[in-house]
Amino acid sequence: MRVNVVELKNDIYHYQNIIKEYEEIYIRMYHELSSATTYWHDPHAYAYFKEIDIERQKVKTTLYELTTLQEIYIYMIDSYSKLGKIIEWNLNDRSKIIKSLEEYIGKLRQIIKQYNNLNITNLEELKDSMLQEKEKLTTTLNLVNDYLQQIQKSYNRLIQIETDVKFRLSKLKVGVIVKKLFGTYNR
Amino acid sequence: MENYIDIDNLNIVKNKIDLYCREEEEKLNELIGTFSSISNHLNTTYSMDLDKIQEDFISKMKLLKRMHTNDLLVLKDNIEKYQMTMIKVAKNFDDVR
Repeated sequence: MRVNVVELKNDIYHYQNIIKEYEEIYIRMYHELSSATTYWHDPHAYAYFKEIDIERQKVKTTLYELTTLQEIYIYMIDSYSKLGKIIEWNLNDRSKIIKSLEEYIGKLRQIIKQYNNLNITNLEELKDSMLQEKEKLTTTLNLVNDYLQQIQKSYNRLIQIETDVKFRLSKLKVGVIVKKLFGTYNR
Repeated sequence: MENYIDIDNLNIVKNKIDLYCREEEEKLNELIGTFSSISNHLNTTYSMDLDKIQEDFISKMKLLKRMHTNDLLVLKDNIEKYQMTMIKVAKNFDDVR
């Protein structure tokens, strides 16, 4: 799986602008069509303008749906950008990676334990260097531990984002428009 | 109510609707491009669901665009027919005279 957050951010920015401009076009278009009622009166005009009102409602619903999709996109950007700019992951490797790191941590602990069990009181020459090596291993152990926790947190976050987005998408229904029959408005 | 048409003003409306229809077409094409780009930059487990939703939006908006184009055609058609009627009436009037 891969998400290019930077590019996605640009796309969402374009999407927001398009929807905003789309809405403006519709507002002007229906305002203009409404003004035409002043200039055209006959039974055909009545049927025509009645249909225009129904159409206006359909566009309003569509715009609402498009805004709901926009909110989902914004959620995705907000969530993914906390993880990085370009994110690549494979959830199938999750257990394997975590297991490897846990084994590595286990081995480091084992070595440190062996250091602790050594009797170095009589090894004056080696004592300092051995303590230094043990200190280095403890630092490495802490780093790997932090790394493991970060990886687990990132995996959990990625799973959470996917679950949330899936849920949000399942709630978004794009209403179907029935194709209207034309021909009743012409003289 | 008396039948009435103000051809000059209705022509102005028609021209504006024509312009909005073209702008609408432009926005629709931009939207199609943006949806496609989003799909390219997003490969996740929900990508297929998202692609389907985006396709549904495109279909829906294409249909709305066709409706608006038809609204424009109706205006054009009615203006032309009223103009024809006026020409016929004027001709008959001249013939009678």
